[in-house]
Parts: sequence; structure tokens; C-alpha cells
Amino acid sequence: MTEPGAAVRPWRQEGVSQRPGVPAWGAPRGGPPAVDADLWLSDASASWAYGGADGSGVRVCVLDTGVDASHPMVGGVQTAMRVELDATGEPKVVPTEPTDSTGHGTACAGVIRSLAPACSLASVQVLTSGAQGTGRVLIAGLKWAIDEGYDVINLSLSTSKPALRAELAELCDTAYFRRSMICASAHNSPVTSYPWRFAAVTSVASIDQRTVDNDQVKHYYNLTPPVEFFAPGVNVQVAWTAGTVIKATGNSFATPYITGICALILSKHPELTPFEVKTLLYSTSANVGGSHVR
Amino acid sequence: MSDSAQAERAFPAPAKAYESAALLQPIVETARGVFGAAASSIFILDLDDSALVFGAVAGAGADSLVGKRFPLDTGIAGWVVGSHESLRLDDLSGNPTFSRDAAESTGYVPNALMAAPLLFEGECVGVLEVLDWTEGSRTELEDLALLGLIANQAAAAVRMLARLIPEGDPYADPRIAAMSGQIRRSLSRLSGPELERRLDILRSLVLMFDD
Repeated sequence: MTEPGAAVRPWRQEGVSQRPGVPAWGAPRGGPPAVDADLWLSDASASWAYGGADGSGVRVCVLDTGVDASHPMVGGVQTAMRVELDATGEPKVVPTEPTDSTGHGTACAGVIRSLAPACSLASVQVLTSGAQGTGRVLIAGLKWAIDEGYDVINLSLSTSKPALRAELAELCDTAYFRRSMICASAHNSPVTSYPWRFAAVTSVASIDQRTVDNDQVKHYYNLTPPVEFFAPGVNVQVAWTAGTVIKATGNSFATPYITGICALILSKHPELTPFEVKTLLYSTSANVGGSHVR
Repeated sequence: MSDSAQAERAFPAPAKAYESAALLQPIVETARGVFGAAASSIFILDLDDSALVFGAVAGAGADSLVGKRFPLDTGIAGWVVGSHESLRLDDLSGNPTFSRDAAESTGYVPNALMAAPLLFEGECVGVLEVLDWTEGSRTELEDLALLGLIANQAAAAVRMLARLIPEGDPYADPRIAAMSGQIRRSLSRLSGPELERRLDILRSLVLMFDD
């Protein structure tokens, strides 16, 4: 029982949905509050966690619009698949050309590659056929990536369909136990969507690195989940269609940043579980204190 | 799919432009005004045709775009429908994809674009877009959050519009439906000058009714 007058810890607050007056799920101006943590894992610094790593040996899968493998910021993909609906409407995952008509998946792949240049990248198109069968296509693509044992799965998308919640949650739990890290974007708007709200995934929203004291590219921990981490997602330069580069803002561009960090950690410490990788994301967050802070 | 569900998904006929304008136009005007933008549009999802349809436009393209449609599997709006996520893109003018899409559909080439899904009870019913806004005091994230709030209002309006149309549709009156069927059957048996003569008579009658 909480003692009278005792401050309620941020993560114990009831009904945390969004902070009024600031971006839905995104970091407030000035960044999230500092966490005064006397971490037992005082050696778990960024340099220990991923210093010198390049992502080699780690398999990353991007579920999105496809990836343009020829874009200079992507540097090729090792596998390209797409989900299609057969004559009976059942989704099937089939090989495809590594292309992207929209640009979004290419942007995500470029961010991951910029952090983990030696990782193996796979692309699964789950967003090319518009809204027809979106839910089944997403679930089929995610199930394929988990079955294939990818180490990190980037999901810069979500669904607000309540009917998909249970099946998505089960898949995310399966991924967690099979040591597939799922990094998922929080919604940019104050709506409830999935799978980023599940504890088995690592959820990401944006921070405007220009509004924090230290504008070096870093990730931050959020004291008031369900969003767990903030990463650069404002006005970031990303790869786009036809070899171009644009500036983009949105949680979907912050997520591949965390995916890239996870790839680096697993590259250096391949034996770690998703639970441990997430702990390292926490201990290496720019706002989490301790003697190891960089 | 049930008939009523199909009717709800269908884009309202041009005959219902009044309801569409009354519900949607103020929202795009608001979005355009709030962001000081060159244009703002609401796209309505037509799942049966796998298309997005311009439901309302403020600013550039307002006179010519309402009712125009484009395939769902292309463009940023299509991505927003599929991902249920919103995003903001800058520095688009040099992007050939954007130039081509924009030129084909709107004749207007944006340099910057924000888009948010219209989500209603777990379904995406359309997209709200804002093009080439004026930089203000809000941050990019705050802009996206604000666009999401306006999109929530637009989603409710689009859903309401879809429910309004079948109920208020005069063609649902069986007497009118029977009359139009008789006319179509009669005309389908004709051709050449006789068809033209009957069509002229009908056009004159329509003009007389409109007067």
C-alpha cells in the first residue's frame, strides 16, 4: 500500500495513455526525465554492449513496403519476400524482387544499415496490396519471419484492429521465447494499436534530438510506458525511392534505429535473450544514470 | 460482404456532394488553416475498387480533384492506409516518384507532405493529408499529433457520411428505381437516330425538372 504523501512512481501511474499537450507517445521537448538508477550492471556501458560491433552475424528482417536493394544507403538485401493472397484468399509468403514502390521500407532498411553495416538484411513486403487483407498479410509475414528465426524483426507499422490483438500477442510471445527481438513503432496519434503495446516487444517512439541538451544521436528510456524507448525520429535523413534521400519524421523512422542498436548488441553478444538485450537498451539509454553513463 | 456493409464502403455518388461537402470540407479547411498549408485533402478508402478517392480538398486542386481516384497500392497515402501510421516527409521536390504521382493526380508538386490515417473503431477509412505548410511554433512531432487529432474528427465524419448516404439516397425509393429500370430497358432496344431522338426527349425532360 502506498504511504500517504508518497510520490507515485511514473510507471505506476494509472491510465497512462499520452501526455496532454505534447506529441502522442513521443518524447516531450527537452527529452524524458533522467532516471537516477544505481544499476547493478555497472559494467554494461554502451562500449561494452555494442562498442566496435558492426552487426555481423545478425539476421534482421524488415516487414514493410519492401526494400530497394539498389539504394546506396541500403547496400543490398540478402532475402526479399512478399505476402500474397492466393485464389482462396489465404496469404502465402513467396520470393520477390527487392524493390519498393513507396520508399518507406527502404528508409527503414537504410537506418538499420547505417548503424549495423554488416548485418544480414531481409525484406518482407506486407504493405503492397493496400488495405485488402492487411491483417492476415501482416500476421502471415510476421509468422514467417519468426519461423525463419530472424534475430531482430523491424515493424514500423501497427494495426488498430482489435480482432487481431490476440493472434498478434501470441506471435510476439512466440518470438520472445525463440529469441527474436521485435522492435515495433508506437502510433504517432493518440489511438490504441498493436503490437507495440505488448511487453514482449520493444516499443519505440520519436525524440527530437534538437530539443535535448545533448543532440548527439542517442536513445532514451521512457519512464511512462507502454512506449519503452525514444530514438531519433524527427527530420531524419532517410533513403527513399529511386535512389533519393529525403527528410522524414515519424515513429516509424525511430524504430529502425533501435533495431540497429539491437543488431549491434547481438553481434557482440549473440548469446543474449531479448530480455537481456532490452535491459542493455535500458542501461545504455542517455537518460539513465549511473557511473557508466557515457 | 452484406449489402449494407458494401454500401457503407462505397464512395458517395456525386449526387450526394452536398452531404460530403458539408461534413468533410470544413475539416480540410480547418487543417489547411491550422497549418497554413497550400492544400489539405481527405481521401476516402474504397475497398471494393482498391482505390483512394478525393473526398474533400482545400486549397490547391480544390476545384478539380473531388471524386478523382487512384490505386491504393501506390503513394504515401496507400502506405498510411496499410500501416495505420502517420508520417511527415520533407524535401520531396527532387523526388521523381513524388513528382510523377503528383503531376498525374493533382497537377501540384509538393515539397513537403504530412499524412495521417482516418481510424474509426479499428478500421482505416481514409487518409488526411496536408501539403506545404508554414513553419510555426510547433515541433514536427507536435504537428503530427495535431494532424492525428484532426484525422480522428475526419474519420468520424467519413463514417457518418457512409452511413448517411444509403439512408438518404433517393434512388433507394423503389418507384424511382423501377422508373429508371424501365427507361434503361427501353433505350437498350434502340440504336442510331431513334436512340438519339429519345435521348434528346429525356434530356429536355430532365432540364424541365431541374428548372
